[in-house]
Amino acid sequence: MKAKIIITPKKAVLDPQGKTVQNALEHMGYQGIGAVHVGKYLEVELSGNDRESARKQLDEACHKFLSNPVIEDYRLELE
Amino acid sequence: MNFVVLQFPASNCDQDALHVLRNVLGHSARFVWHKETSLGNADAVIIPGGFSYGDYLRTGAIARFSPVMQAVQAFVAKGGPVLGICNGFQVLCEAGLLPGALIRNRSLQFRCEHIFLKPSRPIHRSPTRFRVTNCSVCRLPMAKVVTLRMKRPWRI
Repeated sequence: MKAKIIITPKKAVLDPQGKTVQNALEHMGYQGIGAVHVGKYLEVELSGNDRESARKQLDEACHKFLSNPVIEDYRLELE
Repeated sequence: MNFVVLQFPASNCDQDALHVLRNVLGHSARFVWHKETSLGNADAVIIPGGFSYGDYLRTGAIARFSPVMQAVQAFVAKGGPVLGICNGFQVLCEAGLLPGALIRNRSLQFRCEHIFLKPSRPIHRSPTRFRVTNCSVCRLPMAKVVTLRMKRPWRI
């Protein structure tokens, strides 16, 4: 089992990295570029098959440690 | 007074802090390694700067869960004074001992200057901005290099 975690800056928090990448893409001539957000992507390999317990544990870890809820949102997917 | 200076992997200026406390200010001071669970007879704690745990994940995020930080939490709960310098300050934010969180500077540039903070609205002038919602007015000289720090491993 594998968990995929995507951490992004909260919409209300300024994301200068995303803005800079967006500007660069526009300057390079790419068309139709909208807002860019730079975040983090984590893959966690899991032993065992209990999806519910894995989700519960990782949800806690995301909230407590892997993301900072003051400035970041996260999305957790299990596959 | 009995000071302790915490040491994490990749702390820096910890030796300077100890030197100043002992030889300039004339206090008793010793290091406490991050794996220790007790602060002993400490009257005050200094968390120095540096790049604890390589700044992986977020600055201060991993150091915050080290054994010694549990002792710091208990020390603070009893009213003990703690000074966080630079990365130490970031560790205190991550630990929830200071309000707010650090985010990247709007300009993505290195800025070294005295910043006078008023917590009425977000500050846009320091290298890593400190989002404060509720504390009294404070003065913070900040010189934290976000962009240079990212490059350092490539240069060494």
